[in-house]
Amino acid sequence: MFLILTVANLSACTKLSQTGETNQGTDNLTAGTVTIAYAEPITDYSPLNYLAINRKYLSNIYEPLVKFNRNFSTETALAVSWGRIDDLTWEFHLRKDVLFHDGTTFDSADAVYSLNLAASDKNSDLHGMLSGIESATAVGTDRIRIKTLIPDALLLNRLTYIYMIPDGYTDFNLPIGTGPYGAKDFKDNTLTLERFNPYWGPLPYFDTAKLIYIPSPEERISALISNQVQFLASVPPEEIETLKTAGMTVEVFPALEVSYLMLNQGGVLKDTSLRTAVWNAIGSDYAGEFGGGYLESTFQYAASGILGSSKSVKNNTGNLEAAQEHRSKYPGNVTLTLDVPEGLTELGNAIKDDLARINVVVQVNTISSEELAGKIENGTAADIYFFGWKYDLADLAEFFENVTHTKTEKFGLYNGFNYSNAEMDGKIENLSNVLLQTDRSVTLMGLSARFKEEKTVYPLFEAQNIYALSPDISWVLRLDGQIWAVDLMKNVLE
Amino acid sequence: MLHSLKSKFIIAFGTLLLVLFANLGIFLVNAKTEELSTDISEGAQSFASLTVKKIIQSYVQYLEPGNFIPFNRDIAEALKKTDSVSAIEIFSYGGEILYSSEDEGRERYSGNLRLVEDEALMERIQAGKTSILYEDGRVVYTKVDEKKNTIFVDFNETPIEAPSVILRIKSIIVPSENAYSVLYAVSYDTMDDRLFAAKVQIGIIAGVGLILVLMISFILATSITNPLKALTEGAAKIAAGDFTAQVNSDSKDEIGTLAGTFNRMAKDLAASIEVKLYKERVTKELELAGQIQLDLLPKSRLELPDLEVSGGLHAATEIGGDAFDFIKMEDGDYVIYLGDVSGHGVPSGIISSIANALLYAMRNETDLKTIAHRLNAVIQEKSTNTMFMTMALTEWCPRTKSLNYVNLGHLPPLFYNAKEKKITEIKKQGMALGLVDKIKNLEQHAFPLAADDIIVLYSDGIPEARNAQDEQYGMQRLKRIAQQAGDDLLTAEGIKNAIFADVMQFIGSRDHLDDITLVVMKRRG
Repeated sequence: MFLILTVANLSACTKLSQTGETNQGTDNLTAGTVTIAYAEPITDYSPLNYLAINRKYLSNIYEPLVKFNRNFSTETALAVSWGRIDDLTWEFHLRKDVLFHDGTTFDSADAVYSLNLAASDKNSDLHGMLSGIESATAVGTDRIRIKTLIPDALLLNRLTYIYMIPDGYTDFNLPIGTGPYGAKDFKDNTLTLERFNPYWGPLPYFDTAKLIYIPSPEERISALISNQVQFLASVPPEEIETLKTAGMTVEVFPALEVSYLMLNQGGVLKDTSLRTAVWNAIGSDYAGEFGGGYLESTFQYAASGILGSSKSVKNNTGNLEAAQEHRSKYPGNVTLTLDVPEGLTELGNAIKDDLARINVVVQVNTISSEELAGKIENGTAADIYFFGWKYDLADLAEFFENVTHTKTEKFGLYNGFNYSNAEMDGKIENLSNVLLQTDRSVTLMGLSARFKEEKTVYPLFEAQNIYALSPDISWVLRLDGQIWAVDLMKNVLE
Repeated sequence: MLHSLKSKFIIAFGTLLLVLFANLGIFLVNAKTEELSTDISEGAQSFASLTVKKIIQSYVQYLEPGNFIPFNRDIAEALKKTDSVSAIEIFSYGGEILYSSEDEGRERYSGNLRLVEDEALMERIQAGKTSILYEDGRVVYTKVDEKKNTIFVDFNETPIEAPSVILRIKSIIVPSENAYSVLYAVSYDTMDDRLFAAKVQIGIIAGVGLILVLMISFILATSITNPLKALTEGAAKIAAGDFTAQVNSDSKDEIGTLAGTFNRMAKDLAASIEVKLYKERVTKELELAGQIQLDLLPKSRLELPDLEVSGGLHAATEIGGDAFDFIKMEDGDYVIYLGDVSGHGVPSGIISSIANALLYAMRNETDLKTIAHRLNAVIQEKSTNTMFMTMALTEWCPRTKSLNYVNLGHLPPLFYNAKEKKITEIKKQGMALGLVDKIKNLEQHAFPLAADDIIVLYSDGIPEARNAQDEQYGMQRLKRIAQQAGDDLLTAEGIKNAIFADVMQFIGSRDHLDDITLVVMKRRG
């Protein structure tokens, strides 16, 4: 789960001049080196850190028991098989002949240590991820068992975030994992990785991978065009044409991030007629208007490709006539507050204009993402607020459990719109018992359709990641947004 | 019977076809086996991957809560859709047998907990990926990579070599929902039935084909052996002396050609036999003629008070034209001659015989030249233009003790002067008999012979005799041996024998194609 209160692609960037920008750089692909540029620096080498940017760096070094494949489905990593002995007990067979970068062999003791450390270390960001785990125990050297407190259909998905480290390992400044690359050094904002030749899987094409932090968008673009780097992890939409003109390859792919407008039932929008009027008055093509072609309008809660998404969900484009009809049932002047994070004021104004058509006055408040997050968590959010959700676990249940469930100690952590429905809460809580994937998919889609009838969370659009890479290298997109240097290959003329 | 050509042909052709059909059958059966095996292997794997979720759903929905009938119906319907799978079992991850289509055909199992005890099966149940058990006991796991390719791996996901497509699968286990595994028992009964049917079909086709081929080969063999049989019978008739035997064959092939050749051979053989008989008859006649010719020669040497004469003729392989004789004339003289008719054979022999007879007819004649002219006239008249006869014609006059000599185109006689012990050639002019109507300028020479003087008359068969090295005997050798004989005071008979011996030794094993004739006269001392 990941709370997103801004959309990176909407952030304003200075457009790079196209004049004189040609690929005149030195060939950095020689000597088997590939360089990937990030817009954000790595801040922590700890495998217990959950920050997305850190994981983009560290996913080259560490590996979990279970990983997501390109299509965001779980597949074997350091575990070669698994299964449920009963609803609460999972068993994992560990891959044999796996070495850590320090030369030690990976076994069940390492796996148990890694899980326990992630679950209990005071500096771990993964407590919430593993809160449903009661225990992890070794069964011999090549098997472990994980006991959960309640049935957990998303256990495998959660385990994709738990990196395996050697038993007793604590000095995270020297990352030691089992990944295809081992950390060599970090200097000049560059994390240098070296190919780990004893790696159990297919070896990386490049001997060395340099993960470099370049804060300036202009410098990142320039570095790619001049071939000082071969891959950009984050590309401002404004620069796409520049990059294409320079002969760079630009890839656009769903980011698993969905943005919503939350209609807070803690105020006047508790009234069903008014809320329905507002729901129907919202309807402009915000994605097309503000996304520069790199936001996709969405009509469902789930991001594309995750469990619970359905292509059959109907368009929720506004219906002004219906809005006015419902507005008429709520007489009097209405003034609503709208909180949007910085950078999205224009979006707020567009919503304001839409609602003005039904005589609803909107006060747009542009606030920082942190302030907005705080207001959501302490229940003081505006009547309407912008909200983004990234589906890290590839399952719609995480949204329902954390956002739409009535706020309790276990659920509704990000329920800032004061929604509470006992019937829905029961269905959400029962999701953990739906362990069969096919049943689960049907259940989630049903729940999604049912929740939409509540007209209280309005799906706006789905963000997309934009990557750019040198034409000299090839890469296959991953739905989880990770960039693994092992996936990069030099194009070879046949 | 098995030694007949027809039997051998049928057996060889039949065996060849049998081997061919057998190999073709094996090839077809193998190809069919591979095709069906692949069909079943792929069909069973596809069936397993497509049905596993539905089976587990049905299990969770019906059987787990205790509703056996709808679950059993789902399983039965699933099994109806394929011939490749004969049974289905469902296992929990922990190894409990949750369902077995073989054990629970009509009602749900209600006995004790059934647990998998086979460790290998347990490993497959917990593998988390599809496993395949082959008939040889080997277990492989499959994994689908991101490019949708199926790769074969071991439990630890290390890639391994893909098994042969014809290796039979015993079972496939597909995991589902992280908690269950479904085992599909793969059945090759359909394949075996189809293979058996295919084998029967191939066998029938091969059998019918073989019979047809044997019939065709019988007909073919008969078409070959019948003419051969006729040829054999024809050959037997020929062997029995019936050269009119003919083989009737309308065939245009090699057998027909052979029959035609046989018939021509029979005709040629008949003609050849006739020729042979004719040649035998001619040869006998020639032998008779040769004998007659030899009988015309003097049977002994001529012994006179002052002269001894010895002559001899070594006949050539054919009848020759040489002749010699000692004829006592009515006046008491003796005509001694040696003639040589041109060419060989019967015509030459006849001419020489005529000449001999003529000389006998002219015993009253006293003039040697007259004898020569009369001989010439008759031979010229009775012989062809190309025939002639040379002759050394001499006459010994006992009274004068001298020898008259007329050369009629013959080689010069040798004269050994005993006193001087020297041998010379008596070279005198003279034309051969039969060349012209009348010989002009014919001369007669007289030679008084002193004691031990020797005259040697000889035919060209002596100087022209050749040995195996194709060397010619020559005049020098003749004169040397004659000289030697004279010096040794040999008698005429001894000289003749010495010369013959030297010539025959020179010739050695080589046939001489011309008569070798010699007459030696020696004046007694």
